[in-house]
Amino acid sequence: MPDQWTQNDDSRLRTWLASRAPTDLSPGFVDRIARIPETSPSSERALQPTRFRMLIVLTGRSWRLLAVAAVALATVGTMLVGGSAALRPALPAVVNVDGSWATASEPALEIDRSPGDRRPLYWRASSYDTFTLRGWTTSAPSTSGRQANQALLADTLDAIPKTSAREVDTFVVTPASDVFHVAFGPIDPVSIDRSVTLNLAGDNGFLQSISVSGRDPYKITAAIPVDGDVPGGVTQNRLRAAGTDYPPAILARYLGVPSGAMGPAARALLAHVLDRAKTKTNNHATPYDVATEIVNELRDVVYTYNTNILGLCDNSSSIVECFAQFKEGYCEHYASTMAILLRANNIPTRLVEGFLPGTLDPATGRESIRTDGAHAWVEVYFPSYGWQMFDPTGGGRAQAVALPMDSFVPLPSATPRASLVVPSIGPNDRPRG
Amino acid sequence: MTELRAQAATTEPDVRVGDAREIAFLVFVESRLLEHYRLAAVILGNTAEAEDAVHDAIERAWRRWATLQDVERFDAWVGRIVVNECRDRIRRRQRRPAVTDISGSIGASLVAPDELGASADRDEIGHAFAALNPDQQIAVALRYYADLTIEQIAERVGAPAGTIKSRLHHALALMNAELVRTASGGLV
Repeated sequence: MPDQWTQNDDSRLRTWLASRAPTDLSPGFVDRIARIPETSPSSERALQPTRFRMLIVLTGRSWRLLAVAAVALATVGTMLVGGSAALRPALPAVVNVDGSWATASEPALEIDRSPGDRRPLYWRASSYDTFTLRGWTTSAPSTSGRQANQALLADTLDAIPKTSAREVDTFVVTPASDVFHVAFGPIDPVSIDRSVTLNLAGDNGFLQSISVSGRDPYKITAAIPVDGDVPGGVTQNRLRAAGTDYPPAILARYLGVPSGAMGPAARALLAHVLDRAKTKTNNHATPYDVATEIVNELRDVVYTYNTNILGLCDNSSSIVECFAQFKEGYCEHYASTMAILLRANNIPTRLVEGFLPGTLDPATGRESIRTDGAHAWVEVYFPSYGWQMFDPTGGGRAQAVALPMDSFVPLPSATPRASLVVPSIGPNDRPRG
Repeated sequence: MTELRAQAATTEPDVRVGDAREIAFLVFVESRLLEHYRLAAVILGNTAEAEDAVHDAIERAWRRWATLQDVERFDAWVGRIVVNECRDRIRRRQRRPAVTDISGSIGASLVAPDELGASADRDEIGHAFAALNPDQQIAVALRYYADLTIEQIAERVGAPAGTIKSRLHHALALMNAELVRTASGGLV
């Protein structure tokens, strides 16, 4: 042993120190860190909140939720863009859902569509069954593998009702970033050209999302509900006539309203909406009538699309009650409120996250989705037709197209009225009733 | 339905509608979390304690966030809080066993509970490192694990570069003395 510190000692020291360094973060630790802001008070002033728009914190298992997420690093400023190249899946992330923050708009997906297909489509990433007052989660999560091109929904509870007319189409989706961990596609997915893992709620239960990683393009085939007066097609009156004979599995999973979800303001809002729906239908309001009435209500100008509602409500109360009371919020608030009000009326709903329709180049058939199109909306279950999407978000963000009217379809008990309310597109064109 | 409600009430949300400040903070933290955790584990020699140290440091950062003037300095600021937390933990650890220094070695009571186990405890370098005081351990870890320059270490711990230089010099001398003592069959 020499008396002096040597280069050999140097390298022994380096090796020894390095051997103490763990390779990765444990999920439990990440979770603890992600909870810090929830559990401890902080002093008020920090970054200017106006620079941050529609935000969703992803915690726990939510890496499935994609990363509608990760991209929004851009919202937090340039410093981060260089700093966090590899957002790890389990970590909290941010969604920016407001288009007015132009610099936060990063490429998210490129989607090659069939020639001539110009339908505006919502790109689903993940659905959630359980409302937790402050957000949504998946109960009894399970996974199930699928081979490339194997039927995705076969043998799950989300199998498409045979009575529902669907148009099958394929889409080649190219992620513009590594951050996405799930596949995107329109309602409902049929198959995908690579082996994947399905994330389900319950064993062989309901599809929440499809795990896909990397930036390789994938071809997803979807069966899209056909709108119109064809057998099995969806029209306003057919959804009115769909009845309430829900499958038991749907009832078991998609009616949960946790205690505390609805306070006085939410209950008053529901009563108001039901009242109006009944008035319009001579006391024969169907789930479809209630759903459209809620869309109309939330698109009313009295509701303010505001991506910054910091401090409006405390951090523990229900976002639905908060939204019903203050009538201000963003897509998560609109969608959560609609989903819970319907559930409270025994109509099965779920929350869906994904992207709004992007910009379609008619010449190339290529649709470009940018990160600022991240959005949340609602799916409502109709017997014989399956899940149907509704977008209650006001402020001009929603791009859902109104369902067509149709020829007379007799209702089980009610007399349909030909001039019933059509979901409005913008915030200001609500048919007042 | 009751069951569903109970479940809903206890399940943590996957998607939580959050406060912009919370999210910005977590996104900032996220970009360096693994780095902080590894450094704390290297300094403390114990991953569970490193998790606690980083957690407590980040919690402190969250509580004091408003005092940070320049957001561009966020990483450096949290980095210093993490290092300070590690130093406090080593100090507390030193105080706990009421200095029953039977070996006469200044390092004997400092040996970290090391999850690498008994074999690592016997490791000469490990003993030499344990002989250092908290500031020296941190400086050595920043220099020889994190590969920071003297200036970067000075900035990280908030001390003049000259101090860091002599601190490292003394640390290596002390470690060398420990290595010599171990090799010569001294008590460990």
